[in-house]
Amino acid sequence: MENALKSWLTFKIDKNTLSGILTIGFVILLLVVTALDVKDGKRFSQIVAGGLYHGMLIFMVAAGLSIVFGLMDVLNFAQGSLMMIGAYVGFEILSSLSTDTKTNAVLLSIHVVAFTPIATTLLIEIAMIPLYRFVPKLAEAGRSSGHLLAKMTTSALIGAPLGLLLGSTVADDLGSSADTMRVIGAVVVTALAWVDMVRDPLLFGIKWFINEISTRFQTGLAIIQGRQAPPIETLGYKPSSDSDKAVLGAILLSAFMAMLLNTTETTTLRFGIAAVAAVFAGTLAGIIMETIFIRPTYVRPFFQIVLTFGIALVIRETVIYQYGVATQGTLTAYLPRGLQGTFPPHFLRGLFPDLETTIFNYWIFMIIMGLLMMVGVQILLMRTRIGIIIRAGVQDSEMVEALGVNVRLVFTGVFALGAGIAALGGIISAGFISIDPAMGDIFLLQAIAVVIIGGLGSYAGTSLAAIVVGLTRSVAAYFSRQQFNTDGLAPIAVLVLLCIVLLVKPSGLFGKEH
Amino acid sequence: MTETENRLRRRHPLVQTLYDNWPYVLALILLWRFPYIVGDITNSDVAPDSPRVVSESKFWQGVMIEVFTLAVLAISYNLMFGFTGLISFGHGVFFGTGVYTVAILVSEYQKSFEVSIIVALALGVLIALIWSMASFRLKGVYFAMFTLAFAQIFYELSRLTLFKFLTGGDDGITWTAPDWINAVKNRLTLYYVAMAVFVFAFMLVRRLMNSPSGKVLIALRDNPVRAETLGFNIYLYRTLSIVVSGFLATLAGVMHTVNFRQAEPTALGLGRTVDPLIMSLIGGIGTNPGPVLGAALLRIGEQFLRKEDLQVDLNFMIYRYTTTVDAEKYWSVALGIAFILFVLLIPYGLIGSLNKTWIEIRHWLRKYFYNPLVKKYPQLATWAEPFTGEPPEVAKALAHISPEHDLKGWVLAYPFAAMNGATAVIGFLMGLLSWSWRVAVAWMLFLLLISVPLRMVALGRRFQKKRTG
Repeated sequence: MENALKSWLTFKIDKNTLSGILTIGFVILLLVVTALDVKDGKRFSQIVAGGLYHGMLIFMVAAGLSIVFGLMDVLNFAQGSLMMIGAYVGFEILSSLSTDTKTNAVLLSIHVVAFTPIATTLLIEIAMIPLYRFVPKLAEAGRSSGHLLAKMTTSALIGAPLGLLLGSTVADDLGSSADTMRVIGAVVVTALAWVDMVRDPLLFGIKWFINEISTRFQTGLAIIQGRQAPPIETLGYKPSSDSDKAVLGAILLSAFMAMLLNTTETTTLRFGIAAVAAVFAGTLAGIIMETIFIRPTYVRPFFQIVLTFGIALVIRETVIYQYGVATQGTLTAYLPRGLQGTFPPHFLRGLFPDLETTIFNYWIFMIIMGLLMMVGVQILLMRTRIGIIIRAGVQDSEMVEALGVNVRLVFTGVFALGAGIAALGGIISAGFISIDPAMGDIFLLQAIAVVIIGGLGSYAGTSLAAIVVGLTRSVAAYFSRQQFNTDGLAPIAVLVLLCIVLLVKPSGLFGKEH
Repeated sequence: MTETENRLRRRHPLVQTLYDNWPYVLALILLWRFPYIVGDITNSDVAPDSPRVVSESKFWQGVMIEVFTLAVLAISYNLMFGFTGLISFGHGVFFGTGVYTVAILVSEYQKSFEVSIIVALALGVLIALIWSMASFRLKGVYFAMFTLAFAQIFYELSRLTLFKFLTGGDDGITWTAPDWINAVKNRLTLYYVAMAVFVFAFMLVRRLMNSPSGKVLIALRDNPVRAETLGFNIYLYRTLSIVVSGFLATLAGVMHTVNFRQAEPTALGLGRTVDPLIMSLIGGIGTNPGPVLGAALLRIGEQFLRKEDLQVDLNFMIYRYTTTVDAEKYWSVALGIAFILFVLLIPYGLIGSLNKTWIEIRHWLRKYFYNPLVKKYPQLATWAEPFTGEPPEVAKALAHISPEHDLKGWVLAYPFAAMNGATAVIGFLMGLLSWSWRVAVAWMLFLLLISVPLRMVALGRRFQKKRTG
């Protein structure tokens, strides 16, 4: 008894674990209180899903802020503007893609021959990770090698001109050739996936040829000389029956997925293209911002905040100059009249069907995208070489530089990554939240709250805090609407949460003590 | 001269103070006479009989009242950001406290004007104390974020429909100031009151920064750990800075609401942080007159530049480009670009850069003018060799034979300087003859500019010769 008491008294809990437990407890408390008050599953699910999607959008802005602050001690006040750039560029692209046959044909062919291989490659890679991990035989048989990025680039480089070619040749009558194109696309994608699966094609071929020749030659030589043929293993030749099976499986899989992906509607394509353009624009803006403006001020950290603030001001005012101050509504309402039906994509319209709830499909989409980003960046940070460098840079960037890493390049890359994620958040949010020049500021404030609550420089903390803040906001909005008939308390709740966390634990929930 | 004589010969301390601060005295006299000067120039009434009439002088009094308000706010911001190194992103909360407390107490609760002002200032100090308590544990960016969140809470609260009975929501409150200080009925008095408040704020911060406590604040900014190690109670000094700053910002808010007789949520918004920030940045962060200069430049510049049809007349040498620009649209963009340019290129601001330049000039002067080596050759003292501070051999030789201020000897000793001077004068004369004084100045500046590298080449060559030989 005494011993137990002693051990309990001396029991020390890790600070991060405690923070995690407290956070999860807070979320559960919020949900329970809400559930007790709502007493309506439909409304409750709506509140939770609403909070989650909002949290994910905040996360998209906060991710870049968090990593950038951890790595280079820059609190980027222009991150919200990057999100806004994403939204506006996406809108520009969406409204410039007309609905005539030719554009549709080009879109379809680009999708069939460029997007699908990339997506297929990516999906197969992801699908193969657990297989390789838990089925060791498969890993022995033959694992597809080569850098993922290289594969995706290859498939896109081969695919894009093919797509343009197809698009310009079959543009005249789309109706008859759409199905043909899909078949062609499936074939091309299968071929490309096969190329990807079996290592470098050229190298593979040469290796096979040399192996074959040398084996036969040596066996033949042995027969002629009247001695026993050497075992195949000593010749460095590996019979590839298992590998062949794996390749066959992969081909079938990729063919299936190509067929699946090629049933996509043009509305989805438009959105995909807009999203890609938005991400490119955001990344480019991030690179320009880092290299030209922020780089000279690393030696003067005092001025960085002011500088990014100025950049945010310029971007916002430029957007106001171009588009006006007024709120323009969501992307759906904002498009020109001729393009009204092109957004949102078909599969994102309407309500979430299975639960008979008032959850929009688009919310689910936003939540999934946010989760993908969350997990993706986590994998990037934890499982890749670049991630190791980034984490080491967070620990001690001078040491990393001394070890021969080009830290400046890493800084730029990380900044660009954060900017790209923010821009993606912008174009995704534009489907459901009004586009206006102030949207960046609103999300920036909440993202800063999230980053500080999670602990500056702690990526996992940021992810968790984003969800917490989203839920808090949504629950606060519900209670404030119910009690005071106003929505205004929601942002206040987030800010109060931020103040409390700062005063109780100044370094945030999962941040390092300084 | 004996000690007593010397003491007698010294000026009275007050006179000496005035003498030492002559730019400020001059500025003060100008500000005091400002309404009358404008009235004389534009031939308009300084204080028209009817409150409805807005004469030219009265209009400019209004602008200057705003300048004083913004200057007080910028001074207060600079005290925290520039001198103490505490980044505040919520100065709007003090400003808004001043604005809303006076407006609410006077209009809703019928309290007297003076009491409301005292309550507002007390509330401002209270909020400053809360901030300083937060700053016990928060540093740098964390403190900035705390202030941002704190101010945003108040901003959102002021906009809530829930408190519409108190704050008027997004519409705000309109109230009436007493007649003697009303900007419509008696603007001249308000002008002098605002000026007095501004002078008080300026002198307060200047005195504070010249005192030992001020030096500790600067130490806090530059190296807090060292300041703490030296035995200063850094929290106490931080509190001092925040409280004085909050008090002044509240005072600015009170001035604002007295001038406009209304309270609106923008008074609490982020704009009230951005404005003083850019003003301090333009004028010079961490200098006394900097924020004031920034406020004046920005507000008065806005008056002249923020027009829908701004006449632009670009004049460079013989090229001339005239056009009309819609500056109203470009104003905010220009402000943002000014932000970036100042941070990247002129981080010390106008006053700060001037100070730095002056320090460098003094350094040079010490090296070349007051150099004891040069004392032997007084007539050539100004033309000592750089790096060594010694007059060149030719000059020394010439000094013996040539009388003082001998032009010929000087030209012989300094062919490049003579050439530069000649080019400058010729350019100036050419400009005067051909066009106008602007062109003349442009020519002169241009020639001076191109003469700098020439001069440097000449000096460098001479220096190298000496080193090798």
